[in-house]
Amino acid sequence: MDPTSFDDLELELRKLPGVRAAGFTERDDMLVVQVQVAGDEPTANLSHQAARIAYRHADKPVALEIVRWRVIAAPPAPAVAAAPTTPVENNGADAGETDDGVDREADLPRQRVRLLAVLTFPDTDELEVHLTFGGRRIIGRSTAAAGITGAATATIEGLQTFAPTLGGRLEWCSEISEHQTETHYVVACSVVVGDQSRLGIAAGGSRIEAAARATLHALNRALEHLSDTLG
Amino acid sequence: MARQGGLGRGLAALLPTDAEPHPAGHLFAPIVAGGGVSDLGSEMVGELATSQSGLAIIYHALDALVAEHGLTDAAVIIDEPGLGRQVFRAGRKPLDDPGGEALLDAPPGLYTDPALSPGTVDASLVTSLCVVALRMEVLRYDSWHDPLTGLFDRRTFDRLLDMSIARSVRYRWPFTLVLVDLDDLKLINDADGHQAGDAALRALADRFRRVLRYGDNAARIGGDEFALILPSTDPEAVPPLLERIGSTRIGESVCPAFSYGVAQCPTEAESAESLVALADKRLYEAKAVRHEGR
Repeated sequence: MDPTSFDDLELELRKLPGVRAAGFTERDDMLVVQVQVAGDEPTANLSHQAARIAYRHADKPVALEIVRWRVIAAPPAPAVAAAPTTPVENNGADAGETDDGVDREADLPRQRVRLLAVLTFPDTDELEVHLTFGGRRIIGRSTAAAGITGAATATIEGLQTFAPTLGGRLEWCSEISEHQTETHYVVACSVVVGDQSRLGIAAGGSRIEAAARATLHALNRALEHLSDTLG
Repeated sequence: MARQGGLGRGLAALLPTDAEPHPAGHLFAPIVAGGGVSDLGSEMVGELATSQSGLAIIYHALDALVAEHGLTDAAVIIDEPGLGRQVFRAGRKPLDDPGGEALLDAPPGLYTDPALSPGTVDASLVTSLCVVALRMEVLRYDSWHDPLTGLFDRRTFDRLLDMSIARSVRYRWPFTLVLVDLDDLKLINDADGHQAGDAALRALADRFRRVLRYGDNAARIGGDEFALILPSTDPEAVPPLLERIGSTRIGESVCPAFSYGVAQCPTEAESAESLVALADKRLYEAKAVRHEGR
């Protein structure tokens, strides 16, 4: 990448609402872009915009991670003193936590598989799901034309790289958004693991992102059982 | 998942006393003001006079700080009107490892890991020079880009075209120039207002950005005129490319109609004037055919 293009990439990312920092690392011939966003800023389309900017300026595959920070109040203190605040927390809204709608992270010391980005390449009809676990990043691939099914399949393929014994086969995947807007889609899916069907549901900024998140949701529990083999 | 990063000795003092330092974290510490004009400040002033990249100046300064003082890390925080709150870390590194994220809410200034002795570096000068460098970068960016569409502007296009022609003529590297004209912009403006016209221009520009390859360049060179510089692209490859641009869906919006003309360098012309004139002639021929077809 020529220096001007790199500068333009960083500056365009920093011009997005709420962006406070942008960092770059290169791994396995892939540019990993991390954007830190203040949690109190509007979020609409941020991941889309950042992905488009990164894709446009990069001369190699890009994985994008958006980390959102917010100040949260700690649980009410039993003492008379005012409740302390925790300085920073990542709510993972755009960073792709395997969020299942239930805040159980505090009870789970183990690391979780996280979704970094879902990218499509119209020129080659490719779709990539970028996942990370324990500092290791992998890409699951499928065809872009397959849409949400492709995103779910690519997610399963990526997870199988982390956990070869996971198995898993997509049974069905369906968009269930009632009010379709450009910024909010909901997808549900069912993944067969062994003799069990596991259901997942998630929202995302695009249909394919929602499908990837739903697949992670469906496989959350299976991944927990396999946590020892992950990585 | 709560992220509790490493809060260094210096930075920890800025945070609530119950925030536990992370044992594995970086030990970022603010540099206290004081000291004379340091070598680093002098170097930055010199770079501001000669460098075109404000971001490069910031990162050179942080990297130099790390190298010259044997530091583990360095960062600068800027919080200025018009620039917002921005954190830069040496090596363009992400903040998402121990210690880094704690900088997000720290006061503006220069931070190092480990702490430097007071007076080693004029922190306020270096921080202010970083602000100037960032403003310079924003000005550079704004002066190269069209504010409505975000594409390169006319002046940048002229420079890119000259560079492309010079390379093409010297090394016989072919490139194709495409002039694109948004159809009926005046009609859109008159019928639906200038906001609708602006939206149509942005819609076309967004599709250029979406479809063009890395290394291709797109510019808005006039009210409703765009130009594409496509290296190593045969003219025969242009119609399918523009067809794809026309059929690309972004959300619910549809691509506005456009016409285009193509010319190739160096086979058809070897100067900017003749290349643009040829593409322009073909553009207007295409427009005429389009009008006749109505």
